[in-house]
Parts: sequence; structure tokens; C-alpha cells
Amino acid sequence: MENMEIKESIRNYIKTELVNNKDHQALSDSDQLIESGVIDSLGIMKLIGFLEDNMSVQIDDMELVPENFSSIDAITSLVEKKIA
Amino acid sequence: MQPWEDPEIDKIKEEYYQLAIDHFSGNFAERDKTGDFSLERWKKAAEIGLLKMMMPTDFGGNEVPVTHVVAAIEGFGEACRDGGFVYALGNQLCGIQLTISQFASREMQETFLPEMISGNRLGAYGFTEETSGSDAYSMETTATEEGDSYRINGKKCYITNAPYADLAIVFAKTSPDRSPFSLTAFLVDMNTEGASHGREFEKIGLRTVRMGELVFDNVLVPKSNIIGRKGLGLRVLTESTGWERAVLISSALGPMNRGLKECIERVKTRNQFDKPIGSYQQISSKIANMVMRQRLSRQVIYDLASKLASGKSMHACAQDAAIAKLFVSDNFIQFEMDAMQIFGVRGYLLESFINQDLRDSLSFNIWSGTSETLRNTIAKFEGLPI
Repeated sequence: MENMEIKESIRNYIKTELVNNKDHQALSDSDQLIESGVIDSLGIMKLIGFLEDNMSVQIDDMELVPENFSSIDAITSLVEKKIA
Repeated sequence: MQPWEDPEIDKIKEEYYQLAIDHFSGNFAERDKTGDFSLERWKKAAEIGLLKMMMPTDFGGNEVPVTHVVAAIEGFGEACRDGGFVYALGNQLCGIQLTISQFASREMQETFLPEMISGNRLGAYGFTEETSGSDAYSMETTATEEGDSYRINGKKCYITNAPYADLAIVFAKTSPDRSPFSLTAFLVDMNTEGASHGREFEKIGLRTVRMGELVFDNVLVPKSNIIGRKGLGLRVLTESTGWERAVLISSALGPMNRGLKECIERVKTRNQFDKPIGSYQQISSKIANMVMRQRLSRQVIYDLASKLASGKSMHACAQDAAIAKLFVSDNFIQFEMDAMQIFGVRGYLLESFINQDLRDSLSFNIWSGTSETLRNTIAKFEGLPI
């Protein structure tokens, strides 16, 4: 999967599965997902499941830090690093 | 072959059924009345291996697959009428020991697991508070960094095993926001200065496992007692509640297996108007429903256990675990309601084992996520805007 495809796929997943509030539909890649509540307790579990099932990566507990999930950019960067 | 039809599973179930007959049978109505938890019986349960299941061999465990654990709990729970005791064992295994073996440092595992596996130390899972349960972020217990330690302040409520717990897994907020990284789990020795057991609560069911508060008043806990690491509390919580939903739920199977046999015997032998009551359709329908509930509950539980045994992560099975817990709880309660109706006034007597099982079953819609919360979780996995 190319880098652009990774980001596109993550963006689509977040917008279709995790965004509950219409105001968040115009989400940019740098918007704060945790502070805005887009990623909540169940959201993070669903997101990890999505990344592991679709990107062939395993998210370790040590990688479960806010910095890695703060934005679409950050999540993409985490996945890219793991695939590289 | 389906996992619930596996002869190996039947063998394990039978083995633990027999162990319970040998060591844990008998009328426990008196203990149910007084709410007596027996440490002596706890040690006996450890002796026959109930607390070593799934635990690392390095610390005295046997690392059996989760399907074996479910079979052991099913068989043991069928012969041991003491539902509170079976629940306490499952809670210790899934909530406390498994959490320590999965997330705690090697040093903490070395210190605490052998003692717990041998039944010498008992743990409690300090998550729920008076004003916070399903809404984890509203938790009021805080842990504030202080050099190489954290200072914990707060009170945990409705905690299984709290009145006599030697250790507690305690969740606290280490950040004031509502982020998934704002919670941290600690392992706290209840002998630490400032830690106390608080008040105790009387319950209508699961009476032989006691419930109470855990109070933390300026308790200083070294950073080395963090389970996982700072901010990983939610991950720890979702993993351990997932295991409770997947494994502890099997404690419903023993009472259902036993209840079904007893109800069938009852409707065949109790005559009214010169006919066994089982010949009346309103009664035979109840029996048919009970068979269906018992059989499908087994299938749901063993299906999930075999997925976990094959290496699927709890992340991947989180929705299945919520479904299993919800499905079995709803069916267990209705099963026990039907059983009590079949036994009529005899089932209504306090001395009756039927109402003991019914009272125990009512807790299943509450622990490890209420049925309402589980329905939300299941729907949320399907993308509903909850």
C-alpha cells in the first residue's frame, strides 16, 4: 500500500466509523482527534482493530501513546514507520 | 468438530465436576444466609489447580488454553452450588491474575503471581466508584506524580473481594482530561499506609463472595507498581473486562446444566390432575426454552473461547465478548425465572437452591458492563452514532 493510500484509508475509516458529530466531517489531517473527542475509549479499540486487520501491522502496547493517535497525520506516520 | 462437542472438553468438564463433588459439594444454604466467604475453601480451590489456569508456568501456572478454562468453570460450577465462590474464582483469574500476567513488570509477576496462584494472597479489581462505572472518564480517584512515586487518593465502590483483599489493581486518573490515555492502573498492597477496606455491602445474590469499598487516602505507590505504563489504564481495563466477559460468563453454564436436569426431573415426577406437569404445554414450552437457552449459551461461550485459544486478540474479539456476555446473561436470568416458576412455591422458599441461582443470575446483567452498556458497545461497533 502506498503512503497516500494509507492516509486515505485511515481518513476514510475515521470519517465513516468514528465521527459521530457532523461538525467533524470536515476534519483535516492535522486536526486533534483526542481533544475533540473523535477518538474515545471504544474508538481507539476500533481504530487499532482496523489498522491491524487492514494494514498488516501489530500495534504494541508501548505505542499506545496520545502522540501516535493525535491526528490523521500522526496515525499515518505510525503505520508508515511500522511498515518501513 | 465444534468446540462445544469436543470430547477433550467433556473430559476436562467431567474432571472438574468430580473435583467439586469431592471437595465443594453439600448444602450451602447456611453460608448463603450468612454471606460467609471461606479462605480455607479458597486455598483448597488453589490446591486443585483452579487458580493456575492460563498463568505462566514460570510462576506456577499451567498455561492451558482458554477453552480448558471455560470447561473447568462449567464442570466445577455444575457440581458446586456456591455461585458466589465460583464467581470469585473467575474474577480472581480473569480480572486480577491475568491482568498482572499480561501487563505487569516481570518483577511484580514474580512477587505476586506465585502467592495468588497458591491461594495465599487474594486480589480485588478497583475500578468502579460511587459515581463512575461505565463512564470511566468521570472517575474521581487521582494519582499525582511525586518523585519516584504516585500519590493515590480516592474511593472504589462495590468491589468484589474488597473486605479481605491483600492487593488491589487500582485505576486512577493521571490526567484530568477525558482522553483514552488519562487513566493509569496501579498494583497496590492493601497494607500500605493510607489504604483501607472501607464499608461492606450486603447483596441479594452471589452472597458468599463479599463486596465492599477500597479507600486510598494519600497512598504512596512506587512508579514500579504501575501496571503497563502511565496512560495505559484504558487498554488494561478493556483487556481485562474482555476476558471477564468471555470467560467469567461461563460461570452461568454450571447452574444452567444442573438446573435443567432438576427441572426435567421435577416436571416428570410432579403430578397435578393425575398427570405429570410436564405433559402440560405451558410447562413443556418452558423446558424447551430452557434447553434452547442452555445449549445456545454453551455454543456462544465455546465459540468465542476457541477463537481466543486460536490466538485471536481480545481487541479483535471485543464485540464478540460483549455479545457473549449479553446473550448469556439475558438467557441465564430468564432460565432461572422459568426454573423458579416450575418449582412453584418450593422455589420461592429462602432455603431453596432455585432462588439462590436466580438471585445469583441477576448480577450477570450488571458486572463487567451492564447489559445496557453492552448493547451500546455492540451497536457502536456497527458504526452507530452513540
